[in-house]
Order: sequence, then C-alpha cells, then structure tokens
Amino acid sequence: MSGGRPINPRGTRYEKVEFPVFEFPVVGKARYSYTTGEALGRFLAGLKEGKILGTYCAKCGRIFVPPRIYCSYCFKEVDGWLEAKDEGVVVTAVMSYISATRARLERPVAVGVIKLDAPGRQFDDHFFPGIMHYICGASEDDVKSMRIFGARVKAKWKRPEQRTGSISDIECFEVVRP
Amino acid sequence: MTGRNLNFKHRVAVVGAGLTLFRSRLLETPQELAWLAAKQALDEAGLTLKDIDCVVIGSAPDAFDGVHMKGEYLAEGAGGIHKPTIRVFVGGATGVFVPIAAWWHVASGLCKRVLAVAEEKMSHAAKPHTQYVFRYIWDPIVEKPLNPNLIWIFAMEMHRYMHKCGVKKEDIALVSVKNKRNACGHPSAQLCMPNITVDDVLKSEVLVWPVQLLDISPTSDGAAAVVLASEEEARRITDTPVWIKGIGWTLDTTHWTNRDLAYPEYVRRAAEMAYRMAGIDNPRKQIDVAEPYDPFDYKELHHMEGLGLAKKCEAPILTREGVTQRDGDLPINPSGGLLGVGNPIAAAGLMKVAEIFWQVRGEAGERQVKKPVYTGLAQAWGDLMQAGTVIVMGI
Amino acid sequence: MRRIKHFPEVMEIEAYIYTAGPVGTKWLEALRAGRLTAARCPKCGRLFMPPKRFCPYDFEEVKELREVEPVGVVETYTVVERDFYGEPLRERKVLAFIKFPDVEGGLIHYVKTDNPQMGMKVRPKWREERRGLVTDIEYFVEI
Repeated sequence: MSGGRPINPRGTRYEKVEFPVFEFPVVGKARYSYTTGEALGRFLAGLKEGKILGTYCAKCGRIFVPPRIYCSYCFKEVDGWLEAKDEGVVVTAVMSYISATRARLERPVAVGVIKLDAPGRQFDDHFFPGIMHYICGASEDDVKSMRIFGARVKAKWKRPEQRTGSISDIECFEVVRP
Repeated sequence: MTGRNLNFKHRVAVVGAGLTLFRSRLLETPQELAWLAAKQALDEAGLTLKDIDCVVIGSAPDAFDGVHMKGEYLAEGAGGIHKPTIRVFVGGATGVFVPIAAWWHVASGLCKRVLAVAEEKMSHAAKPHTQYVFRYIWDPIVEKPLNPNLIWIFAMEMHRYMHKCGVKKEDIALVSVKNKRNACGHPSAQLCMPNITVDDVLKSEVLVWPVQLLDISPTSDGAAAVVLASEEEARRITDTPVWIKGIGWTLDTTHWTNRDLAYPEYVRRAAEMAYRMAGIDNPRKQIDVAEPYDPFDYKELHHMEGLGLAKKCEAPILTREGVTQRDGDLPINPSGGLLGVGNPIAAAGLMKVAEIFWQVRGEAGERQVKKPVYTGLAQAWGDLMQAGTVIVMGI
Repeated sequence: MRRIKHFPEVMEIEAYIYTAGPVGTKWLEALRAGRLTAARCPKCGRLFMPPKRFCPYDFEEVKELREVEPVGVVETYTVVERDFYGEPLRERKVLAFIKFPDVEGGLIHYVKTDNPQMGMKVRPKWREERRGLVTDIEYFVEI
C-alpha cells in the first residue's frame, strides 16, 4: 500500500492579497422590504400593542409562536389566534462575549430560548411556542452554572410610544426573582 | 442476510476521490479549485473527462464566493460543459447530498459514470468577516433585529445538550482534541495540532459561553470530488469499487425555537432511511467507521446519537472511554473531521465521503483505522439546524 | 386585526476580495508590463484569453502564457447610452467583444470610435500608469 490518500493535494495558500487588488466594496447596500405575510403582520402589530400573539391547530393541538397560518404537520389552515402570556421558562441560555461582527463586546449579554406560557396548556420539550431573545437579570455565573435553565422570565417591554412593531419592542426577558 | 426493501435498476459504486488542500485562504479561483479536486478523482479512477457522462456540483451560499449561480459557475472546472450538469445545495449538508444526487443519476440508468464535485471559497467574503455572511440565515423579521451572531444558535444547542445529558465541557473538549490530532495524518488538513490538550481547549477564547475558540472548525477554501459508476462500469474501472448501500436525507422546520435542541431528530430520520435501504438494524455493531459532521465538537456527540451509534446521552461516555479513537471499537472521524481538516462548507461533507471511500479500501495511510472496515457512514448537516444527509458505503 | 405589512432590512457584506488564481495573477502582471498574453494548453495547443488554469476540453493543466500580437478584431459590439442608474451619459461609449487571431475567447472592452463596425481591426491604447488590471488598457482604437 503506497502512501495514504489523498496524495499530494494541491492549492496555493496566501496570507494577504498584495497584488493584484480586487477589493470590491459593495456599493449601495441592497435594501430589502420583506412582506410580513398574514401571520407575522399580525404578530408585529400585536407586539406594538404589548401582546405576544400565536395561532393554534385544533387537530393536533399545537400552538405556533411565532405564528404561521398553516399547520405544517397537519398541512391545513390553522383554526384561530390566541394570546400567549409574555412570560415563560428558559429552555436554554448562553452568554455572548462577541457582537454580530465578531468584535469583543464591552459587556457580555445573555441570550436564550424562552418557552412561553399559553393559557390552559402544557408543553413538553418536543414542540412548544418559543422565541429567541435577550435575557436580563442573569449573571455570567447563572449561565455557566446552568442555574438559568428552567428559570421563570417575564418580558420587559419598551414604553408604548417607543414600540415600532418589531421583536425588539421587547427589550429583554427579565428573570423573575421571588 | 441483508434485506433490501427497494429495487433499483443499477447498483452504484464510488471508484475514485480527490481533494485539494483546505486552507483559510487559497489563491486559486473557484473553478480552479473544482478542477484540482476533479482531476485527482479522475486520475485515481484511471478515467479522463471524456469518460464522464453526467456531472453533479455542490456549493453552498453564493454569498461566500460572491458570484451568482455559483454552482454553475464552476461547471468548466468540474467538467460540466456540454453535459447534463446540475447544482445541489442544502447548506452544510450539501457535501453528502452531492453523492446522493449523483447516485440518482446512476441508479436510474440515466448515466453510467458521474463526476460529483463540491467546492467552497469562503475567503472571498472578506469584509468585515466571512462569518458575517451567516447573518442571512436568520429570520429577517423575528430574529435579525436582535443583532445575532451565528454562534449563538450553536451555543444554545450545545448548552441544552449539556444540560439534558449532564455533560461537562471537559468531555466535549475531548472530541476537539481527538479530531485535531487525527488531522495530522491528513495531507489536506488545515489545523493539525499534534499536542493539543483538553486544557488548551478550555483556556481558549470564550466566544459565546459555552462555545470557545478551539471548539469550532475554521472557515476554509477547498474542493473535493468523487467519481460514481454503475456496477458494470465500476467492475471495469477498478478491482475494489466501494458500493453505496444506503442514502437518506431529511429536512426539519426553520422554527428551531419551537423544538427540542438536545436531540437531532432530522439526523435520525435521514439515518433511518439510509439504514432501511442498506439493511442495517443495529448500526452500533454493523457500522465499522463513521464520519459524522463536526463543525463544533459537541456536534460529533450530538450526531452520533442521532445516527443511532450511541444511545441518547451515551456519546460522551464512549468518547471518554476511547471507543471513538482510530484504534477503538467504533472509530469516529478518523480523518480529523471539520475540526482538524477544515470547513469549506460544501466540500467538507464530500471530504468525509472520500475518507470513508479510502478507509474501506485500506488507502487512508496513517489514518487507517485498526479494525477491518466493511461498512462506513458519512453524514452532513446544514442550514438552520435543519437538513440532515446520510450515506452508507461499503463492500 | 391590524397588520404591519413590511419589514425593512439591509443586506450587509461590506467588500469582497477576489483572487485571480496563479495563472490569472501572471496574466495581470503581464498586462502591467504592457504585454497582452494568452494561456496555452500543452496537449491541444489551444490559446485562451482570459487565461485558464486548465483546458476545459482535455482537463490538462495549463501553465504557459504566450504573448499575443496586439491586433484584435471586433466580433460584436454595442453602443452604451446610459449609465448604471439610467441617466444619459455625456459621451456615448462603444463596448465590444474583441477577438484575437488563433485565440479562444477574447476581451470585452471599450473601443474609441465614432463609427463602430463588425470586423474592425483594433489595437490597445495602454495607460501610462498601470496596476495589473484589465483597465490598464484604457480602450482600443481602430488601426
């Protein structure tokens, strides 16, 4: 058996591009205007009013937050809208030391997935109404020790005049301290 | 013996494979990278471009190379001019989806010898940082306004897995150590680290706790290629064709905040599909070597469980006991995986398929696992925690 | 129920840095030196401009660059009247596909002429200061 494969893989590595210079700045950023559709349109309007709205499928019993107008499991239209509570339980949380551009943040932020309460319903871990958001009131140690898992959190809303109809109308989900 | 539920017109085999170097910055243009890998695969199979009748190309988001229809752009370098050529794309799962699509071409009887090429040039999207391209992955309405960094999702999944299974970072770091050391036997490897220890991983920069710098695979440029042939052709080309015994692929919802992150359901379903085809009902015993997708160290454990190679929450125990080392009972990622060899998104999965091909033939050199290999598995995963692709190969 | 119908967003990569590859880089260096070259396949002898690292017919590696006489022929052309944003240009521009004898491919470039013709013979007008880009040729003029 001759030497292992691949034999002499090729490629020319380089460190910095000195010459030729082919840097193309993206001139005029492409601006998008996403249509929110039936479901998210109402979801965002609800956020402006300080409510978290969802849809439900009567056939399988699932509740969708963020809402959709179809149940992707039964493949039919949902049966109606409901209001989920703006509080719930932390399903998973992490501590970010870097920003979206990978720069170091001055102060780390906690982020996680929150399983929201819905009136009269229980959910297991398999499928539940949940959203990603910032978590405030949690220390680095709360996250590293995993104490934050299962903690109860409640939405901290911006003032009504500051809301624009966006997920950031909620500043963060605050840990509920007894 | 093995019962196959499905009848195909033609059995399909892999008869050659090729790889370029994987590095963070390669000078070659995307077509040239595709050509380097394709030429090596053809040479290994003893074929020329004229012998190929169909071409399948795999490449991940156009936003990396910075060219529209980036797959078709590669056609010249992948031998796809004036031939039936298609490009497939399922995010990171593309690398294993490329041979799956190539399998369709041959199994249907439509093509006899197919060249399958995957390429990625991530270094083109240079400013502010290649990772920035991943911002397109988020839901623009309910997630992007929060200014997320991609690593958040992996950190959340990793932390949930750690919480559910009671796994410590030390156990997960063992995977990074194993793979970055394994990579030293791979000629294309970007990150061979022969002396890396668990301590090194735990002391590396914390990006998004619990994810640290040495838990992650690098961004890379690179290309890979394989040649597939029908049974008749394969026996003419080589004495040791490696048969494709099973394929599977599955997609899950992009609403990843609505489901349990501790277990990859989409991998399980894709694996089930492949195992059913291959007649495998006890993967832990019937798979001799596996290359699950490992862009992060915890992902190897996560996917091992999804593939049924370990029971839920058992994968870290197997790793700790050395079962997944090259000389262990179930070697995992003997190539060094994405953590060690590199992660040019689409080419990485195909690199794993090439590894299984060479392992089955006994041609993996230093990386050859100790136990005899009859059946191997490669798996890839992509997009927003959704797409799973699996391929089972052997003799 | 009220709906918020649109959500604005901006796509964000700031800049791409493309590389020309090993043979492409040599070709650009030749341009900077004021020479027009084409890549030659060792097997079939075909010449390619812009250069290719591999021959798409034989799949053989191409390493050699041969100098090409700077006499091109206009294969086809178009007259550009408006700029990228749709505003009328001050001066009309002629954009042509210029082929060179025995070379596969050719160059897309401007031709400075008031009377463009198919089959017109042209030669490059080089810039004084060259950087290793296709624009080191300012435009082509009729011979």
